[in-house]
Order: sequence, then C-alpha cells, then structure tokens
Amino acid sequence: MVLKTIALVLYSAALLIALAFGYGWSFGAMLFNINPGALNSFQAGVQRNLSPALWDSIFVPLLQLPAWVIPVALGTLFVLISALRPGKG
Amino acid sequence: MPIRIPRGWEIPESRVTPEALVLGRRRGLALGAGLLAAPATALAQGAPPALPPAMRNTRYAPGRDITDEREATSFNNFYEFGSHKTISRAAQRLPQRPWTVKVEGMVESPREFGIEDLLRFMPLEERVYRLRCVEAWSMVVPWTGFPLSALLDAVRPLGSARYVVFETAAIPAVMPGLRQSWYPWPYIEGCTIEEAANELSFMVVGAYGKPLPPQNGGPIRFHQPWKYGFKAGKSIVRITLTDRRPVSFWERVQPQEYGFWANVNPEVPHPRWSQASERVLGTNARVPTQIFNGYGEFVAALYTGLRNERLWA
Repeated sequence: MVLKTIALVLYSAALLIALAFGYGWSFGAMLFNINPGALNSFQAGVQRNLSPALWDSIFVPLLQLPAWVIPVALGTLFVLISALRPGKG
Repeated sequence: MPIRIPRGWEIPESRVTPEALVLGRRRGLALGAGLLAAPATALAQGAPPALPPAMRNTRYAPGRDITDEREATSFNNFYEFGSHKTISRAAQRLPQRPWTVKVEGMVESPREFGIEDLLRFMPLEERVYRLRCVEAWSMVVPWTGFPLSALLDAVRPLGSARYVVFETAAIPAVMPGLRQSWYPWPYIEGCTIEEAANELSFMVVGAYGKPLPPQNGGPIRFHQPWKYGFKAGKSIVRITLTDRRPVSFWERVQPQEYGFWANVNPEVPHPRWSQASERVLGTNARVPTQIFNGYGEFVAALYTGLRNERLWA
C-alpha cells in the first residue's frame, strides 16, 4: 500500500510539473529554474571529481528528458515493485 | 631637491613605440574604411594561417615567468565544451575559419569584420599579461592582439553608448555544452565603455606567437587582466554597444557569486573560497594575489566614486 501511495504521489507530481512548467520542459530546465546554482555546482562536481564522460553520457540525457517523465518513471517503478512483492501492496 | 615620481603613463624615450609600428597602425585605421566594402576574407576550414609579426610591448611586464605553453593550452575553462579543465581536445572541433565578428548597436558605422581583415589592419602587438582565474589559479601568457579601442575607433561609438557586450559563438554541432539547453546561452560578458577604452583592454588573436587555439578562445577573444578570467569572452562573434548594463552568463547562473564588475581583490573572498592567494599554473608556487591583479596603476581610477556596486564579485 505504501509503494502504491508513493507512486500515486509521483504521478500527481508529474501532472503538476506538466501543468506548471509545460509538457516540453526538460528536467534540467526545471531544476535550473528552481535553483540554477545547485545544478551548476552538481555538474561541476561530477565533471571535475568523477568523470566528464559520466556527465555527458548519463546525466545530460536524463536532464534532457521532459520534466514530467522522471516522476512518472519513478512512480511506475514503485508500482512494478509493489506488484512483484507477493502478498503485499 | 624636488622628487619627481613618474605617473603610470610616463615612460622613458627608449620605450617609445617605433615609428614604423605607429605608421602601420595609422595605415590600418585609414584602410579601415575599406573594410566597409571589402567582404570578409573567407578561408577554408582548418588550421588558421600564421600570425603576422607583432612586436612585444614591454610596458606591461608581468613580473613572473611566462607559463609553459603546454600548460596554458591544456588547462582551460570553456563552458561550451564542459565545466572541467580538459576540454582542449573537444575544442579542436570549433572551426576557426571563416570567422567574422559583428560590431553593432550604438555605433555610427556597424560592421562585420572578417578575422583575416582584423589580422591585417589592426595594430597587432604582443603583451605578456597575468591572467587570474576566479578559481584562484593564474597563468602568464604572451598574447598577440590589439587594443579594443582600435576596434571601437573603426565603428565610432555613439555618445550614448555606455556598455560593451561580448557574445561568444554558440554552435551546437561542435559545442557539447550547448546540449544543456537550460543554461542562458550564448555566453555573454560585458564591461563599461570606460573600461573598454582603457589601454589594457585587449582583443586577443594569438598566444605564444601562434594563432590563438580554440581551447583558449580562438580565433579571437577578449582580455582585461585586472578582472577575473570569466569576464573575458572567448571565440567572440558579436560585440554590441548599448546603454543598458548587460546581465552576463554567470550573473544569470550564480548571481550571488559572480557579478558584473569582478575586479580582482585578495581581500574579498569568493563565497566558497579565499581569493588571498593563487596557484601559479605549471609550478608548485602559491603567491599572494594583488588588488586589480597588480594593474591598479592603470585602472584604479576607473572605479573612484562608484558606490553601492559589487566591484569585487
């Protein structure tokens, strides 16, 4: 029940994000709009301390996704986990 | 016996610019009119041709050894290619020719200059400047270029122009950083018209006697050595004179940390680190940072009377 509730919250968040920022807004644009300095510092931290390739190949594609996709994907993940746990939900 | 202290602009006869260089500059200004009609010289993409000869101007002695060329050309900030320092290889994809720079806005004669025309007609000289990055490292580079004032003379700014804005190229096909569409591209920087007219303000087209490499902002960048390095736009495609103070790229991204003026001051720390000293690139040395990066005699007067301004961020 808890996982399904979290999923419902995430789906609701996706809807709110789409309504607030528009369906085409990227996740990166939304984060930048909320706190530009934090996203910039995160990028610098990944590229300078971990790997430039990690940022370019993993984080940039994620950040380029429409903002609502991220909570929908997470919500779906929680629904799947819930469905795979026998006797619970 | 009176003691006479020479002012910053007073130099001995031995350091006077040779006549040939002065006449060359005048010839260039006269030919500037020809640039109006002449199309920008278009060359094939690839390596730019060798720089015309440029004499070193010894008026701006750096007081430190020149940074090793390999260091200066392999440790670079160029956000369009990434926020790390090893962007030099990726930057090679930035085509250096053909290249034009538009100078427009509040000027009598807006123009588009081909880079070859600038190399041919501007008064090229070499200046060895210190460069102080806001990240508390520094280097000393022999830049080849020409005073910004020479370029502005060619377009004749209107009296109402108060600011000069520099715009960096934005070419998504070769600049992976532009995939991060949430940043406020293109990279914009600016200064006041008084700062632009200062003798230290320098348009750079070369380094170490060679064409300016793309990772350092080739084929043409700006440099004001008394300011933190991020104020110097790289790979410039447009210069606009305006009466409105520009909001630069970094002011939009991190306004608490990066402002319009960004003059070097060791006593004003960055919000996340001290600016009291700097690591000299290519050495293990850490040296005290100087106010205005040591160029105070040339520029301090620009800021007298300015109140309620964040001059040091």
